[in-house]
Amino acid sequence: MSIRRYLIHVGAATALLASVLVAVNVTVDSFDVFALVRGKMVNVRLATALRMAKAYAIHTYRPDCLVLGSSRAEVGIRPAHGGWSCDRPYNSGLPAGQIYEARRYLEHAIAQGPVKQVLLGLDLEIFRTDGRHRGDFMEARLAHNSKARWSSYPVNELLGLALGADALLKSIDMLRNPVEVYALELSGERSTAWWEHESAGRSVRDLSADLLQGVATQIGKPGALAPGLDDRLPSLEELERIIELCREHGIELRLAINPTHVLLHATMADIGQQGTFLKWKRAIVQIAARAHSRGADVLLWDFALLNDLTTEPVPKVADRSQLMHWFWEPSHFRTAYGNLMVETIYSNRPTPVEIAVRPDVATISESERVYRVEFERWMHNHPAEIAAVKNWLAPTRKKYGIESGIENWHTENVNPGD
Amino acid sequence: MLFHSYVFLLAFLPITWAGFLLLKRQGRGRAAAWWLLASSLFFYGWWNPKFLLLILASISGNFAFGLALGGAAPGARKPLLLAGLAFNLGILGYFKYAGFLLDVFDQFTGQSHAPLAIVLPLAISFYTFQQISYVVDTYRSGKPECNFLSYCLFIVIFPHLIAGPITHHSKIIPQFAGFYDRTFHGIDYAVGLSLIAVGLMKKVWLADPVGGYFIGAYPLIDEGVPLGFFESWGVMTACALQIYFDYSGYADMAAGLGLLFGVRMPLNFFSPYKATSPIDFWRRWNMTLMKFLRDYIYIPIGGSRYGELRKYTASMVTMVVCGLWHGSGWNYIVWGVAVGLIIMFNNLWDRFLHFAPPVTALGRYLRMLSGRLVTFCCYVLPLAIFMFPSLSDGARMVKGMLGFQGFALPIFMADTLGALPGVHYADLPVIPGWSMLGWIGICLFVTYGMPNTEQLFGRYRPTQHSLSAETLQPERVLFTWHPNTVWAWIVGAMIVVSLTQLSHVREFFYFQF
Repeated sequence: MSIRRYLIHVGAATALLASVLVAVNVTVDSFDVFALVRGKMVNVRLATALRMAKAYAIHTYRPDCLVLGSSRAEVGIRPAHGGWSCDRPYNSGLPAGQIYEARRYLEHAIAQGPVKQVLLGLDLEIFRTDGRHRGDFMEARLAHNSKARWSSYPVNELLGLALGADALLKSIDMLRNPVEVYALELSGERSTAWWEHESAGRSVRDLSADLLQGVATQIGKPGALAPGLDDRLPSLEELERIIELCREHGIELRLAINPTHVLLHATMADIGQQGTFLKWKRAIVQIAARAHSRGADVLLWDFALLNDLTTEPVPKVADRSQLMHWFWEPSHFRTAYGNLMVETIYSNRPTPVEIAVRPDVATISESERVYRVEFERWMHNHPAEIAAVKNWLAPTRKKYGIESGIENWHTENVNPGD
Repeated sequence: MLFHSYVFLLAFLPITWAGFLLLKRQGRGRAAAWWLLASSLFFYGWWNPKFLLLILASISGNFAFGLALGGAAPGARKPLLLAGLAFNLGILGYFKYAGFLLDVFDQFTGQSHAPLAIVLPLAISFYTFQQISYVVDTYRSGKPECNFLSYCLFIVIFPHLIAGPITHHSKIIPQFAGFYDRTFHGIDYAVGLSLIAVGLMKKVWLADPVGGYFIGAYPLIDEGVPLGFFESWGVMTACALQIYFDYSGYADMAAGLGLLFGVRMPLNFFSPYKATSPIDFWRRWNMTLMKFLRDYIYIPIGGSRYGELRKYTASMVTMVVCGLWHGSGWNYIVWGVAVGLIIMFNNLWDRFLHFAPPVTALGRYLRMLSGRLVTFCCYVLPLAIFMFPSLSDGARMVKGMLGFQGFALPIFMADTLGALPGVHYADLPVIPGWSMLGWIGICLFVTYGMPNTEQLFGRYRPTQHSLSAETLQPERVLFTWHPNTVWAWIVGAMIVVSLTQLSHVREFFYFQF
């Protein structure tokens, strides 16, 4: 064989095999990146590819309404709810998402086309100062503005999705099992099968222990939240940037402090962060008030109240069939709750109980006072739950060398005059 | 820019090669050299353009020292040499060792300085050593390289720029004359492309998967988790295989890329794990670095010319310098001392213990096997020190490898092996399952059961080396490469299979040096 023929054969073999690979990956399009074939569901593996899939989905669908926040907003708020007045709503909430990521995904969406409404679900966790984003976040996927829309696209990642072995395995998996149990719907919402995956056969109570430990690890870690939380922190500046971004683009922004189950409140108290939580709320209120006075279309709702819904008991027995009505577990509220939120914010419909208030600088102190009374009462009536939380969080407290703060949370951690 | 990245393989390389061939075909050899130089600087600047200034300053300075040495009066030559060495070692010392020296200063004086925020420029150890050899050789010969373009290209030509092999000016610069030859050397291109495919496969399908186990275990070791005998050996074997396939894969790609531009790179690895003694091992491992150390450290400080004690001292000094070349830290120094001691014992063994050669084939095979096993252990044990910046982590790993931290087998083996007398199982997170052992098994098979790339392509002499035909042992090689249809499809498949792994690239191990 001549060398010339050999080189032609090498080229032909490479081109042919690569073409087959690309054809399979692009046609199956497991992550809906190439958008050649649109199925009802987009199969995306949780935790590994959500940030990627949502960035490309926003590029493809050009949403005009956006839900932003962490997995709580992602799991609990249905973007297709009738309360919205838009054509292409999209849930851009991210698991363990941070406020910086929320801002970048909003910028990315604005770069694709006009955005009319944004609902930003707020949690203390997304304002952590020990990391702006998770490892699978990639800046290059997200456009800064319409001019940079294509130039910033990560060619390497697109080639990987067309040529990569991971993408090929995913394509084969998808061809064999078109509707995967845990998947992302076209509107960015987690499918209802998410719970099946997340619970993995465990009871709500077992899952509660795991997830509350996770929260405690996130916000209990020294340095994760600055003790003197105020509105000068970089993470709070990100919120101000989001507000300014919405003002510049004429976007109606609604801020919602997410519904917080009482066991999550107890978790914060146990690791000594409940005072930080209340200070954080005050900072949010001040930021929203300032923005409002500057003419921004921004309203703040506080759903982190203690009421019949947020004090819903966690099933005591380790029975997997017993589910909660308003929450998947104390860390994530269900869409039933999310629907009430959307109705409260956008339709002003009355809800079964008062699930939210519109806090402002004048009423925040009174709101805190009521909260403390309610929490104190709940603790008094639920010593077994307090003991369970303390027990669950004992390893985390030991790891970070912190004492349980739940017994004296109201005296040590909360300074009403602060 | 990494060799195993889409941007390199699908954009940089095709454009650079096409431009080079076009200019070569037109007989514009000088333009081809400039094109290759510009491309190489672009390749280097892709990482951090600021350091282009440093590498260009280093090149210009050394070129000037060469010219000055060539024309200097006899009395001025030695000061010029010392100035040239100080120039190179000063740059290397500042960027690579200043932080470490400050730490040592603080440790001994009890003072406390803020850590120096110095970024280590890519490839600084490689291009500095190459230029030290150039300055020293020019001092010895009095004949400098007078063509700045050729000298510049010798340093920055991208196939060897980032992680070696360490090339010698006398072996590389003369090959640039081939740029003016209008003919295409198809066989070089065929071998070059095939070598790139083999190197890619080694990197992304052997080094990275097996290396993942060491990287996964690292945080546990760093947290002080004591590893048992099997865990320690599993992790360090994975680490040793990763380093070998990573670096030899890079060397294969460098050799292949060089051939595409008509430049034969020096051979850098020749099946080191098939060595039957530590001395033999270091003759086969990172051969260009070891040759540099031999020519510019070991021999100048006496080598074997002044008796046994001086020889052992020279070996020790050479290996400590070798350790320090890899990085600044006590772990590298301790590693150098440990390897120096091993080489000394090897020398003593060869000097005082003479065993009759086995008469049977089985005896010869067993001796070879035991030699390889001892050699592997002699490499992997010090490697445990080398890999951990903290000496206590390294010492703990060595303790585990010596059996001081238990002999439990991983729990997943219990289902397969069942209850065995004297054997107990434990949950060993460092050994995640059979897959790890499977990857290690595959790598060991490729290492010991297959021909190395020099043997595979030996007929076409892909690299420069001085190995004898006996060493190459072509008659014992299972298979060799030929430019035929089967190999064309194998190479095409290797390229595509490698491309599937490039979406999550891991840097070459030797980039850090």
